[in-house]
Amino acid sequence: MPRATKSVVHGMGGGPIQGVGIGLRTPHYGVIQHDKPPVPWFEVLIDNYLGKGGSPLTHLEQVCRDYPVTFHGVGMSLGSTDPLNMDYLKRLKQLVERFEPACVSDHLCWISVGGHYAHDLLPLPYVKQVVDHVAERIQRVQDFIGRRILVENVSSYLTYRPSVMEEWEFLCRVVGAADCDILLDINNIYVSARNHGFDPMDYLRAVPVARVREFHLAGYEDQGEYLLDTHGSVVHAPVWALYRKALAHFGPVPTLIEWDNNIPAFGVLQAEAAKAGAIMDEVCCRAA
Amino acid sequence: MLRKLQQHFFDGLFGKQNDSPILELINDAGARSSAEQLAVYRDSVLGGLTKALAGIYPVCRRLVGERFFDAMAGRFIVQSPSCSPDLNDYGGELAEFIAGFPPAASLPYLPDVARLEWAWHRAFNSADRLGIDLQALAEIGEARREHILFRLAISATLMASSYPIHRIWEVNQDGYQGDGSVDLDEGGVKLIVWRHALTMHIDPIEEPEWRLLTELAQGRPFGRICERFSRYHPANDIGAVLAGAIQRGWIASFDLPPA
Amino acid sequence: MKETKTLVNGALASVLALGMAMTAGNAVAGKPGMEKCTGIVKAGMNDCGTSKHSCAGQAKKDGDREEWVYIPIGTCNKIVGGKVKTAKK
Ligand SMILES: [Fe+2]
Repeated sequence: MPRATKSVVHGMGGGPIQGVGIGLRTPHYGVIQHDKPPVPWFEVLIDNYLGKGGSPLTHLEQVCRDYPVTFHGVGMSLGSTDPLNMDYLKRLKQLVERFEPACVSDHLCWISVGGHYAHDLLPLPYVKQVVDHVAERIQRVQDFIGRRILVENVSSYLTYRPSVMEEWEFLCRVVGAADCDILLDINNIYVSARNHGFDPMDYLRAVPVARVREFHLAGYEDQGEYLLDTHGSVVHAPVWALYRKALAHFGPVPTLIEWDNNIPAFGVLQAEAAKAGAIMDEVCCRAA
Repeated sequence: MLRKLQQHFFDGLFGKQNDSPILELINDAGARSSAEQLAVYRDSVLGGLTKALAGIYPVCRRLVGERFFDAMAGRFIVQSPSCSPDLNDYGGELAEFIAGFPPAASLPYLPDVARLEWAWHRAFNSADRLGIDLQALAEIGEARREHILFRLAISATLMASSYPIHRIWEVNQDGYQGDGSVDLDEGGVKLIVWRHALTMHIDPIEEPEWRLLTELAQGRPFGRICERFSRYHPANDIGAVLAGAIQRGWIASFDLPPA
Repeated sequence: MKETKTLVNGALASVLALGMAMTAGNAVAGKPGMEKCTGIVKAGMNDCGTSKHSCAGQAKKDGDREEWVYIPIGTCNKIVGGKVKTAKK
C-alpha cells in the first residue's frame, strides 16, 4: 500500500488526492480565488451545487480548475426504505461527469422516509437485514453513477434495541457486501465511542485497511452527558490522539478538515490542516 | 422492520415526543432517557431546517426578530416537511403559512416580503439563459412573427404586492444607510426578481411592462399579446416596452413553434 | 386581424432598431431597480454536522406557554402607515 507521505502538494484539477485537504465553504471563496492558497485538495459539499446555474456553479468551476476536489454528499439516503431518489442521482452523476472528482462519498445512515427529508444523518439499526438492504442500494448507486463511492461513519446519539452487532461490524459487512470504499471520520468514531461507551481502537482495528480512502477531522462540542458533532471548532486533543493511531494503523490516508458552524477565517483551517499534515508526516515517515 | 422504525423515528421527530413508539426501540443510556436521546436528533433536525429558513428569509427574520422567526419556523417545519434531498428546495410555502399565522397578522405585508425573498432565493441558483439572439429574431419572416413566444429569464419571478415590499426589503439589507423606516402609504408595487449572470436584480416595473411580461409568461404568442396590449394600453407603444424589456434582460430568449 | 400584423411588425422593428450592440442587462431609461452584484454569496445550506436548536426544542417542552415568543420585536416597528391600498396604477 505505497502512498506518498508529503502532506502538501498543490496539484492540478482532476488528479488523485493526497495530504490534508480542506472542506470548501462559501465564506472562503474570495481568498481561495485571489490567493490560490497551497491546499492539496478541497472537498465540496455537492448538495450545495445541485442548481443549474448562477454563483454556486461558477465558484465550483473556478475551484475545480485550480485544485483537485472530492465530492461529499448528504442526499443519497443510503439507509432509507424509500426508493433511491433518481432525480438526485442523475444530477449528481452529471456533476461527477463534468468535474471528475477524485472521490464521491456519502454517509452510512438514512435521511428520509415516506418522501420526506430530515436533512440530518439518522442512525440505522445494526442487523443483518439492514446490511443487505444498504449494501444493495450502494451497489445500485455505484452502478448508476459509474463510480465506486466511499461511505462515511456518522456520529450517533442513540443505539437501537434490535441491533445485534457493533457499529464497526455493521460498517465492515456493508462495505464488504457492497464492495465500496470507506471514508473514516475519526471525530465521529470518537464522538460515538464516548456517547456509547466503546473503545475507538476496537473500531479502528476492525476496519479493512485497503478500503479506507479518506479520513475526516472536525470539532465536537461537549454537552456534559454526551458529545455533539457540531463541526464548529478546532479538532480536540483526544481526536488528534486517535488520528495518530489511525495513521499508524492505516498509513497516510488523505485527510480532510471539516468545519460547518461558526466558520472561521481561512487561515484557521489552514493551521488545522498544517497540524494534521505535520502529524501525518511524523507518524507515517517514522513508520516507513 | 426498518421501514416501521424509520416511520416511528420521523413521527418522534415531528410529532408527539413522549408517547412515540420509537422510544421503545431505543436503548437506555445511563441517566439519559430514550426521549432525551431522540431529542438530540429533534433539535438537530429542527435547528438545521430553521437555519435554512433563516438563510432564505433574512428580511422577514429581521422584521419580526430572531426569537419570533425561529419559533414560527418551528411551527412551520412540523407541519410542512421537506420533500427534496436538496435543502435549497425547502421552505417555499412559508409565505402561505405566515398569511395564516395569527401572531403575524399585525404585519400584513409579511407574506409578500416572504414571497419576494423566496423569488430571490430561487433566482440565485436557477439555470441561466443569457440574452436574446437578435440575429435569429431578425431572420423570422413577417408571416411567422405573430407566433413568436418570448421567454422571460429562467430565473425571473413576477410579483405584485399592495405594499412597498421592495422598499421594506431594501432598508433591511446589511449596510443600508438610513433609519430603515418605510411608510406603507407609499403604496403597492409590481416587481420582477431575476438574475443576470451573477448579478441579482429586484426591478420595479410599470403597468404596461407588467402587462407584456405577465402575458408572455403565460405562454401567449406575440401577435395575441400585441392585440391585448393595444386594448389595455392604447397610449403605450408595445415596441418600446418590448425593446426595453429585452434590453434590461427580463426577456432572455424566444421560441418559434413550427409552422 | 390585419391590425395584429402591423402591431407585430412595428414592435419587432423597434427591437431590431436597437441593433446588435445592445447588451442585455444594461441599464436603460426607467426606474432603477435594486441589484446585488457579482460578489454576493449565499452560505451553502447543506452540511453534515449536527445542529442545535434550543428554541424549537424549548418551545415544544413549554407547550402552550410559548405564546410570549410570538410578539414581533424586530425592525417591523420602523414600518409605518398602513391603510391597505391597492397596487399603484
Ligand atoms: Fe465527516
